[in-house]
Amino acid sequence: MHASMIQPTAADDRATEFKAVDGTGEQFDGYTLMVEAYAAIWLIMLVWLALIWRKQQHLAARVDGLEGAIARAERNITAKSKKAAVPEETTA
Amino acid sequence: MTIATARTGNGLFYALLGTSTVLLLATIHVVFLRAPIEAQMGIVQKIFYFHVPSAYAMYIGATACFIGSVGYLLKPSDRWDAFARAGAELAIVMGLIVLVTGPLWAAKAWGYYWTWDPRLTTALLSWLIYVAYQVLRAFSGDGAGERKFAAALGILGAANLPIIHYSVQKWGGQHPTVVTGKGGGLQHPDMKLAFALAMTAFTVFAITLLYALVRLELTRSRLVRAEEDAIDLGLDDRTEA
Repeated sequence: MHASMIQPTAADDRATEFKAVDGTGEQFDGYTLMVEAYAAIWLIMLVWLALIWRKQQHLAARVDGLEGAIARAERNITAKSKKAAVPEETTA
Repeated sequence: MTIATARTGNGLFYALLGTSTVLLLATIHVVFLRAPIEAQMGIVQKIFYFHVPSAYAMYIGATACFIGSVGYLLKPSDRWDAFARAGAELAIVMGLIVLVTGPLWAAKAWGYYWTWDPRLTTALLSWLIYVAYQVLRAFSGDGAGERKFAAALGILGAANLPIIHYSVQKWGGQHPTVVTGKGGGLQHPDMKLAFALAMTAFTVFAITLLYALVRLELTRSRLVRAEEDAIDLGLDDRTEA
């Protein structure tokens, strides 16, 4: 049999040429895309939750600072009033 | 805020949270176990039941930002500002869901993730406006001037919303028009049920998130005021150095 009469196989085609498929939509698997979409929704929500938690922690730290400042001010006032009371007691 | 008001607020929040949870679970059940697979696109069409309600929730956030911004410009107060800021944050998160799930659906339906279609472009533009709003609020301080500038941006963002909605009808493009009245609509009763449930669930969920965010922003505003008062009274010695 002459060499030109031999039909090329699919394996031969792959080795010698690249053909485009008609349309490109089918290259994406619908099931995978759907799972990715739902995973993305949950991921976005979880990251957002973490950010809200961080924001709340930042607020808590500021409240701690404010409470500390109030406590220091209270201690200063108590100390000043004690100092002021000592001369009165001694004079009495 | 009185203790009674706070308790009523907590009760409302937990009621909203409970309703959102039940509705979201019902939506997941109907979307995955009852609604049929779409004939042409296959299972990927189920993204639709969360993609469209997310877009709707983004509109809710954007509308809240608009109302808060207008309210703040008319009568500046922490409440209006908190409402605007919370709305912008909700619009960003829901917008991000729309912008991530949309291209995943498009990959199957159109064969590519993104195209500069009128609706896609205007939706991206709107989302970027709300990102700009939050960046402005995060880095420019919390003064009255910055708040007013942000309020103007919040109004600008809302001006883009009708353009997103009507862009498909005005300029065409590839985006589906299933729920705009131009398309054939959902052809199966269970598809309609899934969509109606998803829309209701996302509406309640968006309101729940908005409520929680407004309260968080109001707490932050109250703290800022308390810090300022503490400094004015000389209580906060951290600023003395």
